[in-house]
Amino acid sequence: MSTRFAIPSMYAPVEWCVDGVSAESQEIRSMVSRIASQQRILASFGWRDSLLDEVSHISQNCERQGWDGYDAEPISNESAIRAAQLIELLPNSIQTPDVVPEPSGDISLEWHVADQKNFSLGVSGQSLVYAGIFGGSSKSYGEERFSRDLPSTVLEILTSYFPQV
Amino acid sequence: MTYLLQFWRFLQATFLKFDRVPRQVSSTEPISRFVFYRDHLKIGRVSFAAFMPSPKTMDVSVYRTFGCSERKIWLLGDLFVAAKRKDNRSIIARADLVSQPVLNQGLDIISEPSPHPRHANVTRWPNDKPQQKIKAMALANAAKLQMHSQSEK
Repeated sequence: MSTRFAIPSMYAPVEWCVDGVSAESQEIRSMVSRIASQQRILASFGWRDSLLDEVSHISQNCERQGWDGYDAEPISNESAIRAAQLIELLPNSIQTPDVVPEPSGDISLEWHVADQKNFSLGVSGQSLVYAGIFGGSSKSYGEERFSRDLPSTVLEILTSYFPQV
Repeated sequence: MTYLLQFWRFLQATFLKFDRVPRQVSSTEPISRFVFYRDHLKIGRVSFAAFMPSPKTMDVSVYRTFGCSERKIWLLGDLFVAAKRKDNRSIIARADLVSQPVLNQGLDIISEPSPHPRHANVTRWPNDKPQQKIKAMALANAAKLQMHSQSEK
């Protein structure tokens, strides 16, 4: 059975289509929507809303082992919440990323531009994991403790390679 | 009708298994990674996440497709990958690439002839997650996305 409900918002109601009704799913939805509401109080950034919806959608669709057709770990509550927190930290002046579930059970944000420049940013446990290739042999990757601010290296990559067009 | 269909699939799978494939994977041979999950497909490309190693086995399952027609490649996926799943999820696409970009990343492709002689695993992934991502991105960039159209199913 599918249920639809709206998240209260200062701006526009966001509807989520809910197939799972487990306590865990509801907890994720509630936490993600709380973060979404907090953000909307600060400003209305349409792409953040859609990313948060995507995180919610992924956490519902990937809650079973092997969701990728192979051996993927379920996307945990923790991963969904961390991904939502990460979205909150993104600067405004960058391109909208794709939200991508990983076989490890983590959720990442992925940027891609046509000339094979890719960047991935995600939270794994307590660590912020980033990796990017920027054409030719240029690449950058690393792992830092996930905190309330994005590391300067990550901010520089996002604003230099993936600015809002 | 269902029994006939099952019997037909059994026959196809049986004949497909009579396939002679050398154990050594050549650097020029094509390989395919079958994709089941919608969010691993982006516009005209595949996400790096489709090439991230399995957390259980630390490898990436692929099929060696040299000498295969399009129809045979999809049959391999449908009969030896999708059919092994318990949730009946279907393959939605595949990512095709040649072996060389995989080897360039310091990874290896090892023949693993079960459930089919053409099955192989991309191995030797580093434990470090950022490095895994870099390598998976390079594979995704080298890959060409092929959608599984209904007519081919």
